[in-house]
Amino acid sequence: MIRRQVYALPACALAAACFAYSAPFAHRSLTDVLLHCIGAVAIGIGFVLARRVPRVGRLIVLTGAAFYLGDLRVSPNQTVFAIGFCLAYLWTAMITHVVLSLPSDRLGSTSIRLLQAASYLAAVGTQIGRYLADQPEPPWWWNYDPGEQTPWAMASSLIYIAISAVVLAVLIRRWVRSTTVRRRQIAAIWACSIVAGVAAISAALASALGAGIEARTRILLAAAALIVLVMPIGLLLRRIHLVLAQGRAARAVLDIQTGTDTVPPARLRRAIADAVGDPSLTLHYPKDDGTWVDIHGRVTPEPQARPGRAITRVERGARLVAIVEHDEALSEQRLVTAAALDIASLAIDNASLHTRLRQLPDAAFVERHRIQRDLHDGAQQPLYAAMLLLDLARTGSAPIGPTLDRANRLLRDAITAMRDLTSGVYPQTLGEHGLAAAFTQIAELSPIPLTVDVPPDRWSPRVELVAYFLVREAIANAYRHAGASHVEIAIRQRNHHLVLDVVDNGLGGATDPAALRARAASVSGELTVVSEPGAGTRIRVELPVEGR
Amino acid sequence: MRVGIVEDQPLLQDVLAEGLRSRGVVVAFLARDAGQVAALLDRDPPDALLLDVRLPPDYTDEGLQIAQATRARHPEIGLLVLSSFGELDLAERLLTLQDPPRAVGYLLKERVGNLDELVGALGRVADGDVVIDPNLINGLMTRRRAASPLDSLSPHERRILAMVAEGRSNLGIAEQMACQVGTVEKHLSAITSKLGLSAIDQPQRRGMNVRVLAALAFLRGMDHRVGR
Repeated sequence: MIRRQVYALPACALAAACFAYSAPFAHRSLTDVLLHCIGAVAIGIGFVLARRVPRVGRLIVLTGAAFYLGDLRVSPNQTVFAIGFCLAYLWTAMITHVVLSLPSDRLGSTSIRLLQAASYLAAVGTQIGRYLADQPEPPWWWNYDPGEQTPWAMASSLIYIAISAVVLAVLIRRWVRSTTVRRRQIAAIWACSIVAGVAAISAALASALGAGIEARTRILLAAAALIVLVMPIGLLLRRIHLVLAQGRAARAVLDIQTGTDTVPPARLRRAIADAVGDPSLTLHYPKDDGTWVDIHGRVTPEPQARPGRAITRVERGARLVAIVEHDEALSEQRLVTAAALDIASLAIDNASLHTRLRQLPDAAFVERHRIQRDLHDGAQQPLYAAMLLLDLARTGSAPIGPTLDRANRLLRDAITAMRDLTSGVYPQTLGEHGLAAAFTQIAELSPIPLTVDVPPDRWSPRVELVAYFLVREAIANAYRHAGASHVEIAIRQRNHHLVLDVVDNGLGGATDPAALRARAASVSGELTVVSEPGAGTRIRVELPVEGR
Repeated sequence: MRVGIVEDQPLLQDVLAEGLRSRGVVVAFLARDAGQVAALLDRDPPDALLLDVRLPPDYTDEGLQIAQATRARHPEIGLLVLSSFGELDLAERLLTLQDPPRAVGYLLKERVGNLDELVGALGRVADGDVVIDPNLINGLMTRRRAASPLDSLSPHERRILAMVAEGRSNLGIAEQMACQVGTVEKHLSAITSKLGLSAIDQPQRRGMNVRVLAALAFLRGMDHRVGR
């Protein structure tokens, strides 16, 4: 494991020494000089990359340096020659290391680590074996013709081919399993790796098949050039892609922010998703009670990082505005993602208000449905029945006197039901005398005993109305569904909240009261329910109110 | 005629049964929800079913669901649905139970105030006809719409279209309007061509209803286009 920058400088010094040492032997033509400089180019590119992807950058520097270890084979000194001979192909394993580390800068799973270890073992081990078995003599160079192909040389070529093929298979598997975002990110690297891998395999294959030394040398050097040059180019292309993405993100988010102060959350989500290039991105807003809602105001589980998905927090000042859940691959362009989300944080924050507001129509709908049902059950049916009775009386199909009496009673029932209904829509007592009086009235009419502990204070009509209906429905639930025989109602103002408690002694185990929750949400209130089976139900509602 | 009543309000249930009996209708059974209806229908199927739309448990469209189930199991039973609110989509669902629609009716619930009309509609539905509440048609016609083809109808033609919707025969319409059957037929062909429905023309009564249904579907299409 190469962890620290300090390894890079001595490595480069060693490479330079090797380069200079072998120069008189190696530089017989311009082509030779150029090929010999491949390692130096890799070192340069590695240093550039190290600023962005430190580990991979350093690894490329060391790969470039390792390229020159083979130069030691020109030494007449047997020990120096042996070191050069054994380490001559170390750089090929290091390239595998670079390829497998991309794009996340980490090798990842144990099997990939084992593959990498095998790659190092093969690159150095086969050369050690060759040294011991074939007993080569110095000097030696890349295009040195050892004559007869030895079994060890053959074996090392085949092992190299096998490992390269496995690495290629791993890359292809990664590609197939990638998300769209990931593929777009690694397309350049992937293409380079495949080209390089194929070149490396064909060079080894040519060697194994005993192709002429000239051909082998050319393929080997061409492959080396391709690998060492093309890989950093791929990384550079990715950098360019990221910079472009960043520009796109900034533009998209600026577009969002000019014009209106509140963007519909769905449009905002789309804009951010386009900007960072992840269509699967979702926004989650925290609520005061610790639950989370999506852009449609629906309750969602708390967003968490999980395989394939990562989260980014959006904060303004010290306050958490939202959590963005996105493709894990975005984490590798976190600068872009973070920048985009930072710019968008104001819009995201505004949109959260929008999300809360969206819950209003729900409450209105529930209310309308309830009125419709009350109409159906209470007021309309006696009217229909009265009409029918009147028709019977008119046509003489039934005795007139008693039939008209029945119709009369039904009309009275209908009028009573209508009055109850309208007072339910806007209870008169509530409007005139406030919550305390209205609840006292409810208690008087209620089928079950109520204890009311409400101060005679007044709040805004909207809050009072919501509180009134919440209590009415909670009592109705306690009576109808929970079979409660007693209900306690208490209201207190605590700081900037009106705190409303409705506690019954019924069956408990109530399901989440969605209608009540929607009502509370229509004035940005929060509702909590504790309802253990057999232990009654306790509903607490906190409605924000102006401070006093 | 034997009729089953499906109504959840006990009060209205009783009065309905009483009213129908006074007109010589045999009330086969009284039921209040889908479960009860299914058992009763299998035991002794009536000629027609009188259904409220909103029934327990959720008071949404249970009556229509019962209508669907009944049509599938006992296709011969006429289905007359009563609704407090003239919901067009429910009417359309009822009319699309079968193609072409037959033996279904959709009336506003206030029709119970005229028992002769109600019994007449039950009889037509039991005979396989289609009956639509004229108020539904009138409501459609009076609703403001951008460039409705109905604007091109004369008041006279609108009245005829409304009567057609009630399921009246050409002769019945002629009697109502105190004119010749031939005049009615002329008006009808004018109406269908003005509404762009001239391709559908059968002389029979059934065909006439199909024309009205086409008009209904057409009007609904218009409503969707302008956005309600």
